[in-house]
Formats: sequence, C-alpha cells, structure tokens
Amino acid sequence: MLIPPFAGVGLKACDRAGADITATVFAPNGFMKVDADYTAKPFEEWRARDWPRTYQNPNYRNLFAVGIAFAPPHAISKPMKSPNGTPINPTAPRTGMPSAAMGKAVAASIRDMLKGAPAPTHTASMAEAGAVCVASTGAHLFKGSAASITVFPVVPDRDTYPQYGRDVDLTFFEVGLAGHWMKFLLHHVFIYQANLRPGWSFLPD
Amino acid sequence: MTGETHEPYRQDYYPPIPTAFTKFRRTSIVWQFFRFIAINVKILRVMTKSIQTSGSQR
Repeated sequence: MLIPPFAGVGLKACDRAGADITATVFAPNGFMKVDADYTAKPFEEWRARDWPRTYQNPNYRNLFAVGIAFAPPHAISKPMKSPNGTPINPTAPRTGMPSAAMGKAVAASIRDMLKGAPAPTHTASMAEAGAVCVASTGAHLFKGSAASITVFPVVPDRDTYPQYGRDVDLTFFEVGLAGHWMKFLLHHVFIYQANLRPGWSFLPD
Repeated sequence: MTGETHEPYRQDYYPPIPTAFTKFRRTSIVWQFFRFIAINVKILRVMTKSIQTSGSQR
C-alpha cells in the first residue's frame, strides 16, 4: 500500500526551566525517540538490534512511546525511488498486533517501575515478534473470502535468517474461505473481550 | 553476508496468476476446512514464538 509518509503531531517540548527540548524528545519527523539506534547508516548495515525493545525515551525515564508514536530507526526494506524521483521508503507496520504487544510490555514495565524497578522490565522488539493479519470480505459464512497473512519477525532479521530476513515457514500469505471463518471467530472473540465476559483476559488478543 | 541477501524485489518473488484449480480450492468447503486447521496452527506458532522472544527481562 502506498501512502504519504507518516509524521508526528509536531508537539513542542519544554523542560521545567522552559528551555526547548523538542530535539531531545522527538525525531525530526515528530515521532518520539526511544531506545532505538538512530545512527544514520546505509541499508546494507541495518540490523534487527537497531529497533527498540523497551520504548523508553533515553533522556527521560518516565516517557514511553508505543505503536505509531515512537520514531523507527529506519525503514524495513530497501528504499526505492519512483521514476520521477519520489522516495518510496517501506516502513514497518506499527498498528494492530505489534502495537498491542508493545503496549502490553510498556504497561507491565511502568507497573514494575511504580513498584520500584529502576528500569523497564519488559520488552517487545518488532525484530523478535511476529504479526498476523486477516482481511476478509463478505458477511455470508460460505460466500465470503479472505487474505490470511502472517509474518515473523515483523522487522527482518538478516543475522538470524540470512536469506530473506524472515522465517519463511511462519511468513505466508493465503487467499480463501478459511481466513473468512477465522475473521468471523476473531470478530466474536473481540466483542466477547470488549464486554469483559467471564475469562476474557485469557483469550488471545 | 552477500549481495544476494539484500535483493528484495526480484521478479520471481511475485505471485503467479491463480489457475482455475487454485480458485476452486479457495472456495471448496472441504479443502478450506483443512486449511482452516493448518492456518490456525501456523498463527498459534507465530504467537507462541513471539511470546518466547519478547517479554520479561527479569
């Protein structure tokens, strides 16, 4: 999917003395800096370890950014250019399942830090976690269709998986009715969890 | 690491056009029943592996 580049909301940050700390807290694109390696380097030198694990701002320990709010260290696959020179930079999907994993890890870290832990206690690197996406069409159980997609890890790790950067057994795409059934179940599980019905927290999210 | 590693846009990575048999399998209830099980297993493996690699640092 080709869309215009995302950017942060352009917040201005000031410290207690009123000094402008925007450049310390936010990357130039407006997203918050976290524990990623933001050193500028060519595509061939990008590594999975560049990606954040705790999502804590390196200068302010009480600031965290997850999902679409944190500044990615770089794109996830080779930057390209259209014939008229427009840069096309494939960025990591940071919504949906990865967001939930990050949010859960950061919430657990904050809970532990409030109880006295000196540093974040939980991690959720996108270079170590997978994601699943099921996109379905139609409401009829036997007439709909869907695309089922899994990817592991979300950010390619070329040290662990040298050939493609991902586990090719766990990274797949399939079109068919089966995905539609799965989406039907996911829909009802989601509503069940949203209503906080018995055992909701044990169901997968 | 070789240059081969960093060539993500080769033509042979693109999917082929589905045949009539492929389209039939995508809508066959019997075949899709087995695919439903297979895809569920795959998704569970992705989730299990994600939980194993992320989590508590303690």
